[in-house]
Amino acid sequence: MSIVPQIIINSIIAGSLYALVAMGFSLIYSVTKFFNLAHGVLAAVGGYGVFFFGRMLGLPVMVAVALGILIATLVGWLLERCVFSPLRSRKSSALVLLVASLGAFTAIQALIALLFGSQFLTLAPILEGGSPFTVAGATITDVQIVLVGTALAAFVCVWLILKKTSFGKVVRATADDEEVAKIVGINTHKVIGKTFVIGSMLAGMAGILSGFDTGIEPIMGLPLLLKGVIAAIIGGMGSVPGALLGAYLLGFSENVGVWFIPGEWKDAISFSILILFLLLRPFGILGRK
Amino acid sequence: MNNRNILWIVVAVIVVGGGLWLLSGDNKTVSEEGPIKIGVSSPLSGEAASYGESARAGALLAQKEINEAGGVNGRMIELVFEDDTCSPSGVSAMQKLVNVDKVSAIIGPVCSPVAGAAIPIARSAEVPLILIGASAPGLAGGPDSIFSTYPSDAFQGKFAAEYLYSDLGARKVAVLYVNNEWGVGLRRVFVERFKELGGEILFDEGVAQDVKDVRTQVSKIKNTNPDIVYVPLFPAGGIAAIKQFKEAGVDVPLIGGDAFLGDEIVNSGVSEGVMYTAAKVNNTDEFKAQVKALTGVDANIIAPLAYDALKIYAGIMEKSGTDAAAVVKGLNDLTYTEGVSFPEISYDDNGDLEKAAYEVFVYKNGKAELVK
Repeated sequence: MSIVPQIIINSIIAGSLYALVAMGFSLIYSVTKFFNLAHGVLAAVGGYGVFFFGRMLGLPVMVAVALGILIATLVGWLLERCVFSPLRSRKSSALVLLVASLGAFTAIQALIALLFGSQFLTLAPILEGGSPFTVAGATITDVQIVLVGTALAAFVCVWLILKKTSFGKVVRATADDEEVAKIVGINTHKVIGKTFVIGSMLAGMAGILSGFDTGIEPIMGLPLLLKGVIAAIIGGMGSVPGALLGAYLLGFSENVGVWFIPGEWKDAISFSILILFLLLRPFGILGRK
Repeated sequence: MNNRNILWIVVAVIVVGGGLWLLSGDNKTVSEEGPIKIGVSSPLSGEAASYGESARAGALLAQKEINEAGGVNGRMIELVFEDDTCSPSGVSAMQKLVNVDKVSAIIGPVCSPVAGAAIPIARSAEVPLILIGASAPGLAGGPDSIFSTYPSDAFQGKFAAEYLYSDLGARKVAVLYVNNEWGVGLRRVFVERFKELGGEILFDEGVAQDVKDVRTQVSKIKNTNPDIVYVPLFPAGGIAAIKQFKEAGVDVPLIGGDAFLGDEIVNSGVSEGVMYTAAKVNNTDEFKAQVKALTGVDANIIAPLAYDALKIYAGIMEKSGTDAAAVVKGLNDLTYTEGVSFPEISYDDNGDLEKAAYEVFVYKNGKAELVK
């Protein structure tokens, strides 16, 4: 059946997008131990950043993309410095941080809608795109190829950083036990800040690529975040390889599932899998007990 | 009682008192003097913002003309615009117009998803309401204060089926519709009529209004090899879907419904070759120029609809006063031939437009061209 390659490709594309969001989310969770819901809106910030620089100011595509990523990273880092860090130093619980991140999410989303309007916009016009490629009977566009490549490259980079660099060691130490890390002399404050930088960059990239592929609107952050969180959970919360695995698993289940049942049920599939995992294996595939 | 308790009591008094005061507001249901308040519920923001803008512009033009000619029996028309965002949450706009502003009559909504939720509010308060674009079948309901100055999709779906079958010779069609009042209504009528004519529906699935990724549905549709794909989708989802169809290499014609007539589709850059059906509403260059001169807006067909609705209200109120029952009677008895939008406007027993004609447009080079 010629449709099978297309389903596989669709799954990989979806999985790559979720992976970018999930990896950042999981990384941030690993060091701070709270669900940073504001992670989702950083995708929107990235997308709108490219829109602003690329379409409104007319800068070249690559410059706009770089600036978009920069803005998303900046916003993410500022959130950590100005909102989450002060709360943590007051020994606020994870729940308080979650609510704060939700507030940040909503506020930034509303700001974007105020500045840019709430309609759906496309980033594609600033790309001189070629026509889609055909690979083994399935079509894939250049943006989608970049998306898949970026997700995999991001994973490799993050994994190498975590495993091979001394910074990575420090991150892993903080993730293991923040208190002990502090005692040992690690400046966990700085470490967390840098982790937010990496995570926010990934989120920004996700938003930008999603914007090129489909389009941007102020509310685009939430669906991406939800899928990313599901992927992170089923892969093992706090584990970056787990996030990647979970994301592709999710992508495949959704797209293969929707082949058999009407497309409206796509989200139902994702959330059912989440519930299944939470019931049977809450620490995820690669998580530790 | 310590300070804390006193503070809470003060706050409670303010909140409750304020609420009571706000809701009692103008206690008379409709004021007998001063400006006549007419409410307009339209999507001023969101994916259908161009429709709302046109509605607003058309209404403003009519208001200007009426007020400059002395108003209605000396009373000026005051328009209250509310943004209903073209989604069911926009029902709060109707709530405000009916319960807080206590308007004498309402123009709108434009979008069927809002209308489905908002109409019962106006209906139970017996406020006269003219729909200007919400076209899902059955919205105007039975004999009551709700009227529609845009033909019901019971016609549009039928027209689309007949056009595809007879004019385009399609025998096998795939349907991808938006899962809201409008899309569901259109799809039902279309599928029924197309099958009646002898056609075959190969694929029939809906997507939620806010879903942008329909790649799997597109792959499934491509696999069924249809002659034509009927896509009654809303603008945001529609743009994403069109893009994904083209990327997947689906080269059969795509034809949508009247949700594709707004600027959004053209501005997205993927509109080339996409067709859509829409009711035949006159939108003369002269009228468009007048609207543009007053508001700067490039009016689409919603503008003449809003313009005529306001003029109709003014005409009836001039003769019969602003009492709701009188206005409703006036609307029931109406045969209006001075309208911009249609040569003749009259309503049947349900409040639907009696006559309707449809056209098919295709986007070429960023402009809609009439095909039929």
